[in-house]
Amino acid sequence: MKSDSTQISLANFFIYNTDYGHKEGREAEKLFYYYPESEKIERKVRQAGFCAGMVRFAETFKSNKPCEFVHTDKLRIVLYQIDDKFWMVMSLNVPVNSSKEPDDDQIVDHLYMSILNQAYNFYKLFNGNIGENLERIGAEQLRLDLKGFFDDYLDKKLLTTVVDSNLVNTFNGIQFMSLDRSMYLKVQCLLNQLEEKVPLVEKTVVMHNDQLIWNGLEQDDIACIYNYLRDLVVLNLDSSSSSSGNSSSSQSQQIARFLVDHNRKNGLNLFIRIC
Amino acid sequence: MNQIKIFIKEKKLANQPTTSHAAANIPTSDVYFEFEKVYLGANSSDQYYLIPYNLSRLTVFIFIRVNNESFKLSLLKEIDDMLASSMLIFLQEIADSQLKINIKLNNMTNPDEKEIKYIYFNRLNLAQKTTIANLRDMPKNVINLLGQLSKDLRTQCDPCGEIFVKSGKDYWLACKKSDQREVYVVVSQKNANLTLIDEDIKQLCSTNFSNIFFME
Repeated sequence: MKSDSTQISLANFFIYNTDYGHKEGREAEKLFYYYPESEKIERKVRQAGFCAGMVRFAETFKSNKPCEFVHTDKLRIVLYQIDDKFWMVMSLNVPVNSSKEPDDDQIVDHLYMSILNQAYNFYKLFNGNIGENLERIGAEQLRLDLKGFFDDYLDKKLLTTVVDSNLVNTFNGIQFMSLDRSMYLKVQCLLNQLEEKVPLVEKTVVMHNDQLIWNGLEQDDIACIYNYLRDLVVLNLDSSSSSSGNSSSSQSQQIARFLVDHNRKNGLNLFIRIC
Repeated sequence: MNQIKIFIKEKKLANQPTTSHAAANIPTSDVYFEFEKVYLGANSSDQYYLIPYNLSRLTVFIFIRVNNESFKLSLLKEIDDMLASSMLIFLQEIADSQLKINIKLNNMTNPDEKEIKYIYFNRLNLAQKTTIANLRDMPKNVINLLGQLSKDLRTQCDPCGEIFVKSGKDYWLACKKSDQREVYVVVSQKNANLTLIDEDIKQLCSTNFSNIFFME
């Protein structure tokens, strides 16, 4: 993706495993995913090797945290250890200012760390822990899975978030809805009834538009899934408002339905009932 | 193999949720449906079906463990029966209470020439509240400055502190941190000075965050 050099852009994004690729001539095995795919293999290997080297080097200082950011003139590298042996790395092109000098101040490190965090959380949500996946399906299959997943993720999400990251969209926050006490209790009561009568129902989350009313999940889980749930609701709101626009739908007519993620499943329909 | 695929008849039901809906069943078409599976729990150890049940603005997300064999189509019907009527009532009540709040707000806002906007974060429960509808509408240097301020708050103000910055001619930025809670305020006002801005911030905190403790 060629873009304006005054803007932050993604130089590369890759995942490597420090257990792989130790033998000479087979260094490329340490790479599990690499974007852009068209990059020369030597360069891919060199990038991953450089990052692994930086991490090892920083370890000698006995810091309690691993190396997270590397600043160079043209690149900003963000390293995130996603599992024991797996690292997720993102490099950003440092934008230039009006006098063509690199403008280092435009990139705020920890915002980009939280973007990587989001990316792995999103992977984990649908695929589970990456280390366990390696044991379960093997390196070859994992590479294919990662390619399928992250090609799509980069295209739909990461490439735009990188350009347009700010305090709010990287915080990963949750918008709670302020309800009065009695209303809140009524919602909780209904959910308790549901869990009582339908014992298969284990956990529930309730949202009003994009705001959270009730969360029955653990804190870490809701942090991972909230963005996804919000997008699901918002996308479906859009599609339902556009599809019902042509009919003379009165306000009293409300539709209850099970939602489908149009991004992940193509061309499927909804279960609809009109109350 | 363990994907569950379900066929459901599309149904049209009577307009009043309180009346029996079986009477007006008009099956129109078969629709195909498959649920997402998500991993939850520490170490992503447990897999759940995610069933989003939506009625207008309310959505209930239901999580059901994947290895459960007894998950049948009738379950969706049960969920639907359980939730639909109550959710309709909730929607009405929520709409009513929001209307009241809006009326109150409209009466409160006085035509003021200066513009104060804020972003509030609580890192403990991840709550986020903002009056900036779209941060992209702010000038780029302000957005960038907010990012830098969050870094400064993190590194310099521990556990609490506040930073004031003037950016350009018209923008003042202030941020406050108290343990895990952070608030960022953007004031757009010509000819303001630090004391005025400080008062603005104090007032904003006392009206909007009266129940949240900020160390002074």
